[in-house]
This record gives sequence, C-alpha cells and structure tokens, in this order.
Amino acid sequence: MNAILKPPIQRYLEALELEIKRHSGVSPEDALSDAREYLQNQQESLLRAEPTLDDEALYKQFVESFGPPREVAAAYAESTGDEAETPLGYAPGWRVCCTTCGRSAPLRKHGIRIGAASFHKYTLGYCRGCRWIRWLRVIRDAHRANLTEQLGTTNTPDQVRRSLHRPWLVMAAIVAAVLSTTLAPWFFVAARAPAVREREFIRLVVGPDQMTLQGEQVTRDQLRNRLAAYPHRERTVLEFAATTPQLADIESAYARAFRMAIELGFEYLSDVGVQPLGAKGSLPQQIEVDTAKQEELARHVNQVRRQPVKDRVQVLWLPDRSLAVDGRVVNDDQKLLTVLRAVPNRSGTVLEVVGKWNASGNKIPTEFGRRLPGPLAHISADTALRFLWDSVAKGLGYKEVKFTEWQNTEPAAAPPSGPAASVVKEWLRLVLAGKLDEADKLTDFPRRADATHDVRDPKLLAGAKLEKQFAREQAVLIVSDVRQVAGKRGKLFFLLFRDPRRFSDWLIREADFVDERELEERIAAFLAPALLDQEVERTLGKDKNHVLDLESGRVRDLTEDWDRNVDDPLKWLAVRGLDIGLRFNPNKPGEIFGLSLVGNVVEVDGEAWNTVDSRELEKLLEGKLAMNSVLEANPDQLPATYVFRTHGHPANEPYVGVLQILGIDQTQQELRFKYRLVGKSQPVNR
Amino acid sequence: MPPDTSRKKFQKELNAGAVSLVLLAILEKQREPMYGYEIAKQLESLAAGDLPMHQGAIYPALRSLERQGLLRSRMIPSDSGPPRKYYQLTAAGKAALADWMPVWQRTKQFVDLLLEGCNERDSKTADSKVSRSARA
Repeated sequence: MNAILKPPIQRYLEALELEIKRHSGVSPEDALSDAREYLQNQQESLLRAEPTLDDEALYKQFVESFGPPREVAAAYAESTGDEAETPLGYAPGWRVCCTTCGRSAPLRKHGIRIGAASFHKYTLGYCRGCRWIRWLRVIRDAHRANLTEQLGTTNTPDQVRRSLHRPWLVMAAIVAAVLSTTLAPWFFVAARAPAVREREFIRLVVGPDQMTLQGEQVTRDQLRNRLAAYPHRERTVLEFAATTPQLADIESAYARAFRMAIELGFEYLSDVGVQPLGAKGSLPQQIEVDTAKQEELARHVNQVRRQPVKDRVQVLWLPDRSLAVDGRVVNDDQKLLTVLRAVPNRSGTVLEVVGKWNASGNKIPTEFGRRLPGPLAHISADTALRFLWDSVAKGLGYKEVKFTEWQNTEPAAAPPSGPAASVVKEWLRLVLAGKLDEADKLTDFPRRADATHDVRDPKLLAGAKLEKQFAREQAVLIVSDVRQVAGKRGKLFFLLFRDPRRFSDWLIREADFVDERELEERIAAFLAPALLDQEVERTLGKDKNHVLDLESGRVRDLTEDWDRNVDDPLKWLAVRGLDIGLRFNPNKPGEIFGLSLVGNVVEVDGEAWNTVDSRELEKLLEGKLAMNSVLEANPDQLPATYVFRTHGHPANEPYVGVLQILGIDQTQQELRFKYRLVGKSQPVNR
Repeated sequence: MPPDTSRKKFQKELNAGAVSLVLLAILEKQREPMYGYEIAKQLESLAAGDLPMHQGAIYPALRSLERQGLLRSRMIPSDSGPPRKYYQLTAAGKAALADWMPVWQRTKQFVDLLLEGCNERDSKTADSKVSRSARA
C-alpha cells in the first residue's frame, strides 16, 4: 500500500525534489527516500511529544532539524563531487537521468532544448554513477515534483525508477509500431494475393520385401511418421510405385498408401507405375512403360503416346479383359476405382472414356485423338462398360464424361446381335415383376466368349446404394439412389447386360438421371405393350399375280419379273420379303396363302381387330411354328380376322400383326383385306 | 559577508570532513546496522541537543561512504513507515576509521593549540574594550 504523505512531509519533499533536480550527480529518488525516512520518523516523534503540533510548526521543525531543502540538496550534490549548478545551455525544465541508478542532471548541462515536446526519450550514454553505458532518459520534470508522488510512503527508489523508466518496453513498442506500420500494407497485399503454390512430389516405392520413401529405406511401421514429417503436405503429391508389375498384394499396399495420403492431408496420391527402389519424386516427366507390356500394348495401339504421369492416369482395357494402368496390368476393378478416387478436383475434371470396340468395320487409324483436358483416359471394350464408366464417373463426382470413339479395325470383334427388342422388353418386364425364373426361360441371351467382366459387383458403382438388384447370368438391373451417386434427387435406373451390346445401347438411352416420377413414367412407357400401327387396306387380284410385302405394304405384280425357272419359288419370294399371295380355288373361294408367315396364322374373334395389343399378339403366337400358311375365308362369314408373324427381312426383325379379310369378289377373283402391324411398319402407296 | 553566513559556511566546511568520521565512529561504536534516522538521533543525543550540523547532512554522507565502499547498506521494509536503509561498516570502513582517527587527533590538537592562545588574547581585548566604553 502506498499511503498519501502527510502534508508537511510532502511539502518538504517536494521542495527538496525541486532543489535536487537543479543539481547534477544526485539521484533524486535516493535523496527523497532518505528525507522521507527521516521526516516520517521525526514527525512521529514530534507528535508523540506534542500532539497538537500543526503542519506549519512541523514543517519548521523539519527545516530546523533536517536542514533547509536547498542545503540538503547542496549537500547531496557536494557528496557526489559535481558542481552544484552548471548553467551551460538552455533547456528549461528538462533533465537527464540514468534509468539504472537514478543519477540526474539538468539537461542544460548537455545542450539546448527549446520548444520541444516529448513523452519518452531515451538515449544510450555513459553514467558516471554506474560507470557504464546506460540508457539515459531525457525527461521534462525539473519543474514538477512528480517523484515525491511516485515515491509515496513505502516505495523504494528502485521501485520508482522501474516504474518510471521502461526503455525496453518502450523500444519494443516503438519497434512493433514501426513494423506494423511498414509491414501492414505488405500483409494486406499478401493476404489478397493468390497463394503461390508449387507442388512437391515425394515417391513411395514398394518392393516385395522392402520399400523406400523419397530414396530412403523405410519400414511399414515407420511410414506414417515419416510421411507426417513432411511439411506442406497440402501441396505435396505422394507418388506410389511398385518395383514390379507382378507384385503380390499391390492393391492393398496401394489402398493403404491412399488412406495415408488422405489422412495426412497430401494433395493427392499419384500412381506412377513401375519404378526402381530408391526412386525419388520429381516434377512431371515421362514414364517408362514396362517393355513386355509395351509390346503388348503396341499390338493393339498403333501408337501409344507416353503421357506425363502427373495428373493423368492412362487406363487401357485390353482384349483379354485386363486393365493396363500406366503400363502396369491391374486385374482388379477396385484398384482402378481407387485410382479414380485419388484424382483431386474431380468436379472440374473430365473423365475421358475411349471406346475401343466400335466394330463398324471401317478402317480408322487406331490412334488416340487429341486429349481432352483432364487427367484420365479409359479405353473401354464394350458399350456396357462404357455405360458403367459413365455411372462410375458420375458417382465419383467427375464433371462430365466424354466418350471418344476409337474404332477397331477388326470387324470380327463386333459382338453378335441379341434377341429382338420386344423379347428384351418382355424379359425386363418379368425381371421388374420379380419373375426371374420366367425371365430366364424367355430367351437365351447371346454371350460373347470373352464377356467375363462381372458388372454385378456393387463396388463398381462407387459406393452407390443399391435399392434393388437382380443378378442373373445375363444382366443386372440396378436402381440406385441418385442422391447417393450424384447428389441429385430421383433415382438412377439402368440395366447392365453382361454383353449384348445392342441392347445395352438401347437401355443406355433409357437410363439417365431423371426425376423419380418421370422415371416411373418412362418405365411404364418402356414396359407398356406396343400399339398397333395404322391399318393398311389392300386388294389383291389373282389374274395380276399380286403378292404383298406386309412391312412396306408394297404390292408386287409377279407377271413382270417372275422367273419360272427358279428351283424354289417360295424361297425366291421369301428372300424378297414378300409375305402374302392370293389363290382362288373354285371349291374354296377367298383363300390367301402366306409365304412363310412366321408364327402361323391364327384366326381370332373379329373384336380382336380393335382390342388386341402387342402383348396379346405375342401370346397368341407363342409356340407357333413358321410355315406357309393359308387363310381360308368363308365369304358368308366375313369379316374374318387373323393374327400373324412375318418371317422378317434379312435386315429386319419379324413383325407381328392382325389381318382382317373384308370381302371376296368371285367374279373378279379379287380379295380385299386390311391389316395392322406392331411397330415400325411404313406402308407405301401401291 | 554577514557573521551568521560566515559561520554557517565555516561550520559546513568543518562538517564536510568531520561527518564522515563521526558516522564511521558511531557505526563502529554501535557494532550493529543502523538506519539514517537512528544514527541522527544517536548523534543528537550525544550532542545533547546541540548537533553542530543539520541532520539532513548525514544522509548524503552515508551514501558517499557507501559509494567509497566504507559502508554497506540493506533496504528493509518497515511496518510503521517507509523502508529503512540500514548501514553497516565494512572492513574497509573500519580500516578507514582507524586511519582517520590519528589524523583527526593531530588536527584537533593543532587547532586546539592555536585556539588556546587566541582565547586568552581575545578575552583581554574584550576587557579593554569594555573599560574604554565605560570610561566614555
């Protein structure tokens, strides 16, 4: 506690302080401390002897016993050997004092100071009291009794000096102020300027029994700590390499490295193929492809351009169904997905998919076209896989997928065609209804010999949640929650056939990210029975040797080009797509003969003309054999209605339809009838 | 120069050297640390209330002796007032006291010797001045 001084003591000390500050070589704090000690004790003594002593009397007693302030100050000055007063310059009110010992002197002794304003000023100088270089403070308090107040009743001189003089704090504050003033604009600019990032690359090479990290051998236990020790991991790429393509357990090693890269905050993991032990990461460069594999690739790719490995993973889908990732064979789709997941900034990356087999038969140079921007390229062997990659890319959040058709020069590579679209639709209807056994019996999907890729692996969907999955030998139906895949509402509906490329193509058009209601509508439309085309009415005449192509509605007069020397007239007609002829039998008027009408001709009730649909037609014709049918109509019971299936053209599938005989003219030997086909008939004028 | 001022100046000059000797002597006599006020009161007591100097002159002398290494001091907080600075003789201080005492004795004897004759003549002169004024 620092109590207030008694007025007489304070008065005396203040007078002494002013006197002391006029002298050189004296520490005012010391002198005031001495005087305070004396005066406090003296006052107590005097008041004990005479309690009624007033302040004025006390002050007189102080002066009488302790001495007048001027004399006391002079005594201190003399004790130090300095002159009492040295009026050399002109600096009224200023003094300079040592911040360590408190030795003080009027500033006028050292120079002139006029009209200056100052709060704290320090300078280094020699102190005769300390006899060493000290911080000297220039202070304007010679006219003020500030030290008396600072000293109070209990503070020591050292405490007063410490409270008054803090040159280091002041210097630190000045330095901080200067730095903040000068550096603040720089920080402002630096904060707004885009960060200059330079990628760094460190390489992990995994061998059968050892591995190296950036050229130094490391054990599996040490790996995490060694990786964690790298600074700037956020802009460092961890490269992963194996010493040999046939390294066992390479996929799990890659997966571990991938997890570490994510957990430790590396920018991304980059697969750099086969590298020797001790290899170090470096700036993007050409990679060396394994020689044997390079030859293998060269057989399928006329020119394999070496791509920079950084930011690009080249995936080749080989005919033997193995994957070549940067020249290293990978027989695990999961590994490939891991590679895809490791690519950073996928939302801004185009996944480029190159279809290898398009099987057009046209000779097109098998060469990579110009790369689209993006780190990935994939050569897909079939359309189903193309679609798979499409879904995978969406599931992984790639910006978009671009398919580059890269056509093969071997027509034989084209997969065989599959069953009719109507059969596939029926198959799909049964699958959706859960009648899988019936679906299996419906048809035998043709399969390519090398179709071994299992598209049923849910992992291929990149974590998509499967709501429904029907796995069969031929295909897998997957209804996937789109929100899980692409963050969109609705469902992803697609059917992956193992191989029949044609139907995969067709279904790919059906499958898309759509609204759930729209999807249901599309599925309903997809499964709905096909409508019958518009009716076509024709009249055939016996004398004119008329024959009819039902699909085109074209009537042909055989008298013009009939070759009577053909060995098999019916085959001759069938090859030309002709379906129906007319024959008049005196005993059986109105007979129409069918030329290999597939599925036979079945007479049905007349109402069927208006009510039958494609599904009923298929049902009516189910199990019927193809043969040359004859439609015998009773002129008294017309109209007569029939269902039929055509034999089809070489380029077209068979059609089903309904036919109704309307009238028979015995005299003219003509027969009038109408018919409707299911889908795709394009009748022409006669 | 007025007689009073002259006397004060003489006393001051006389005290300048004597105070240090007195302080060393009293600290040696007490043989225990003493603070400034205590020393002042001790001297006042010894002088029977007629200390030939202001007690304020003791403190700068104490600090001067401390700077010379003849005294050492220690600041001790006080329950009743400001902290007290206790002084104690050092070995150098004791040696200085022993060295200064013969000097003081010789000076004192010499001054006393001179002053003895002055006192006799002064008294005669004063008597003659009184008789002359009485006659006048």
